[in-house]
Amino acid sequence: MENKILTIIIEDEQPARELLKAYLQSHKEVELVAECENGFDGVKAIAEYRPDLIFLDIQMPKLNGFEMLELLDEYPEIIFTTAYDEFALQAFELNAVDYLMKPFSKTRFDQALEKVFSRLKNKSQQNPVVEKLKEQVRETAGPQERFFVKTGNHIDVIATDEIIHVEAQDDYVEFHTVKGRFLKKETMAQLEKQLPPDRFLRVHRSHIIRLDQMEKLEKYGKESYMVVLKNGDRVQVSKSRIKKLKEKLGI
Amino acid sequence: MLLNPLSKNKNYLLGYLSIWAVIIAVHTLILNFFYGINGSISLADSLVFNFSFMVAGYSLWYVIRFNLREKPSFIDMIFNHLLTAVVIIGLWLLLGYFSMKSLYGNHTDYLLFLKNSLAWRAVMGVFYYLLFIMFYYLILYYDDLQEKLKIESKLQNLVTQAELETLKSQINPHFLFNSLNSISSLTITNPGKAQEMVIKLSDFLRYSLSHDKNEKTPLQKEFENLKRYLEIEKVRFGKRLNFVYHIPENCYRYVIPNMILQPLIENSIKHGVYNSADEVQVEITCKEEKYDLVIEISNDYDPETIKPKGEGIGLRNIRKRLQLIYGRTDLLETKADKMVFTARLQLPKEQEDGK
Repeated sequence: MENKILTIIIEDEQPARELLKAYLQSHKEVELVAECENGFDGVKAIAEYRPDLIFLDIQMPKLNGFEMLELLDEYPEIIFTTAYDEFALQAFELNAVDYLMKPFSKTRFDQALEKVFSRLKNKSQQNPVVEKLKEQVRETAGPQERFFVKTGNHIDVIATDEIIHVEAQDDYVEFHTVKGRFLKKETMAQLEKQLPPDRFLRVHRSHIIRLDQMEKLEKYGKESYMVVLKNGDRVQVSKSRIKKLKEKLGI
Repeated sequence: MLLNPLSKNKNYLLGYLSIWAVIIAVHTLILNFFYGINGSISLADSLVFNFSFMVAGYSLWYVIRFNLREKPSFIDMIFNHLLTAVVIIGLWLLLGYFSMKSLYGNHTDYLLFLKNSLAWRAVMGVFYYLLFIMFYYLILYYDDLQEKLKIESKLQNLVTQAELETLKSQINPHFLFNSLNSISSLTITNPGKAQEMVIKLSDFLRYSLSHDKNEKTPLQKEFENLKRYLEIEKVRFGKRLNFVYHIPENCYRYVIPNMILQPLIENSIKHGVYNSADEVQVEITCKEEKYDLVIEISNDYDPETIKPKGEGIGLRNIRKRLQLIYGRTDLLETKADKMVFTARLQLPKEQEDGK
């Protein structure tokens, strides 16, 4: 017997987990290594067991399925499960990912599993579909109220209201918050889309500030400006963006 | 409505003026033909007396408005109108008499006629006055009726809307499909429980579809349905959802607007259980006060989750509906302290036979 396919179920409702387990009974080649009730446990379990396949519910407390994906460094094969979520279904359809709509039949379950098996056999590399899916979910989800930052095995939740300003650091963005600083692998352009535009403004190629955290706008030199924030941080404003900032402030 | 109905649109005003024009013409002709008073004096008499009543009649509207500013008793109203009638008709006659006298005091024939005609003119005045009063009251009554009909239809609309909302939430796809998925799971693991849940879900849906839309229902029925809903959710969430209720027997007989509690409980589940991985307690309490029935629905919530700002559509709709049914805006209060969200409903006590 070759290696078994390692699987994790990530689902907050117990009956739904039971059903998946019952359906898995007939698939001896699959080994269930963990069951998780929420996304945080899911991230940890995936790091620990490095499964080949996960069953992932979209609507979960604290950290939903899509948010959980944001925190993964590499992706196992994923079969999404959801009862009803127009937005998720649209994203699934567009990106051709495997999903099961609750309630689903054993037949439907087996088909989804078959597809995964054949992909695993051909050992296709890093699942490119998930990247696309993530991007599309971000595009359509609009501004976020919270961000998740993973540092090693620890996950921090940052509420949008706690952010003072954000600074670009190579491939990362650094959140300066009331709780301290956090690094997340993300581009400034992407982040700009995820922050509510009425409260945040990109004032420089590598700076985004929260408008109500501004203490004052200082002019220094002929055409250059500095924003002084309430916590004392100073942020440079680029020439091209000064007009926009003044507009926002109504000056 | 504060505006004089006559000035509401141009046509009314034109109509009013033309009626008076006819009266003035007839009045002039009668004096001229039957009493042999010369043309220009007839016309002047007609103009003075009728034009002044035209203005007085127009301003009578404001007298009536003033009369109605607080609900007077019937006796008061009659008395007020008598007083007004005497004052207005008296002034009108005096004004007419003295202006005509000053204009044509040297025409003895006419002066004699003027003096003799005062009694008839007074009768005319009373007649005019009554006509005006009737006309204005009719308009007020009609407007009142329209207003009532408007409120009625608004209420109907809201009830329909509430009904649609409830249906939508009953057939809230999340709830429905997740419940069905739980049942599907139970058919394998625990068929007995699966059957129980199918029955509950059916009863719950049937209740939501069948209740009489306009009416209030006894608390008992509403509560039984809530319990069904919570038991179904309990199967899904297990120990994450606990509910307790303190409803004294004596509260059960009072009627409340149907399906008014359902959205509140759904809110509790949504913000409490859906967003929290820990155990959440949903609590329903009911108290009977002197005039009101007070129902409180509370749930723990995880203060770490980001709360939606402001009131949702659901709460706003409940508020609107209560306002239409009871005519008050202060019957629903919500408060969120650190860990517990509470919605408090205060409904005037009412029993099934409308007491």
